[in-house]
Amino acid sequence: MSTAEAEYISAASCCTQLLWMKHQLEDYQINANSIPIYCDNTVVICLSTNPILHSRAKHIEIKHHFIRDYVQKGIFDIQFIDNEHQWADIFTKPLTVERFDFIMKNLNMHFVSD
Amino acid sequence: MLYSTRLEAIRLLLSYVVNHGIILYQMDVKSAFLNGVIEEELFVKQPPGFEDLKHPDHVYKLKKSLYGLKQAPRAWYDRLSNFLIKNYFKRAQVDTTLFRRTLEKDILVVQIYVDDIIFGSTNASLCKEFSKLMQDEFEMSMIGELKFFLEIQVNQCKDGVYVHQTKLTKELLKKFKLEDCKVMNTPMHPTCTLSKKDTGTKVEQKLYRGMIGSLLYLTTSRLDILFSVCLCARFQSDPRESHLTTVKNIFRYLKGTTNHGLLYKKSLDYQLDGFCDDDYVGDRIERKSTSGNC
Repeated sequence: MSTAEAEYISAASCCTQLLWMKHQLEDYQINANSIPIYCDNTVVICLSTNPILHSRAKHIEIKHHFIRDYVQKGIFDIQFIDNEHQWADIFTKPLTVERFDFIMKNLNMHFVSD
Repeated sequence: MLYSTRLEAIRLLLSYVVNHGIILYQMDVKSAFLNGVIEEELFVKQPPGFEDLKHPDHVYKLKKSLYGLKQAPRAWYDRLSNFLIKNYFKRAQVDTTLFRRTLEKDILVVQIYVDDIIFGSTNASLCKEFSKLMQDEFEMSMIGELKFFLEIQVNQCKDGVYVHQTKLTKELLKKFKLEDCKVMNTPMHPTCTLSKKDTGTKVEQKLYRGMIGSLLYLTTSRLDILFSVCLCARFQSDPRESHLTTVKNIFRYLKGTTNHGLLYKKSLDYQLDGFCDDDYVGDRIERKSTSGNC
């Protein structure tokens, strides 16, 4: 398994979550389209936007390629984001205090006063 | 099929109402399951002490549902949903516990969690009308602004909606006797490494699992501890001293941040964004990847 594959699979699982939310929002009559997915790996962006079989990526299981369909339909829009603004960092590794507080602020986690 | 909503769905509802300037109310149906009507033929024994002297062998045929019946939750859901649909509500396509009614420009949304009902509308008179409607049909209690729901506290104020679990956090610290611990700045140290092949002393599984279970519920409003809790949860089958220390560190972090919560603000561009990332090399155990979405 390569780093790119790992990132690709995580992007696919992110898609499933977003699809669920998208369907939920349809119940509120909100139609979300071209939902941006921010990813910090350029290979993933290429893999998901180009429907070409790369010889180096042919080992990736087909079930993870469903993300391509949705990108082509225009439901998801995969974009690059630099590591600093990758808020999902907080869910993948233990962080230092400064970084932790920075992400917390951006995830809208605040001190609640009664 | 489950007739209760996922907590994520409630978070979505909150973000929706914030953006539409809706204030949420909650109410509770008293002994909800007794309201359900059952279609199957069901019989119960005569309750001990109340047997009919003439016919001690007879049984009762049930017309309505009872607590403890297999059919009770479904019967209650059917009764409530039919009642709402009859009153011009539309059931949502995906989330079957969400009902909405549109009247010209005004919207009334109703979310059901078994017998807890959350509702809100853009028009205050619609809310009153709805609570009256419900009170006429069922016996209701606890009607008021949404404040406390499934151990989640909700503060509805001018700048948005706060979702927090302060009360639960305090209770948990008390339950696990960690009230007097020292405070940590982050839930987990950046260099912390946990291993399945730890040879340290074994700790009680019941305690460890209990802690993980309680923390998992806290993640509803505390996204910051999600990673560390999930990491520790992997060692539940054979917890060692080092794992327990890490879990206790999460509690120590919580002690310093008891009052933290999520804030849903009103934003001009209401849209869905996804972030995805993973950590692959960082996993020293199985080299399986950790993925994170938000």
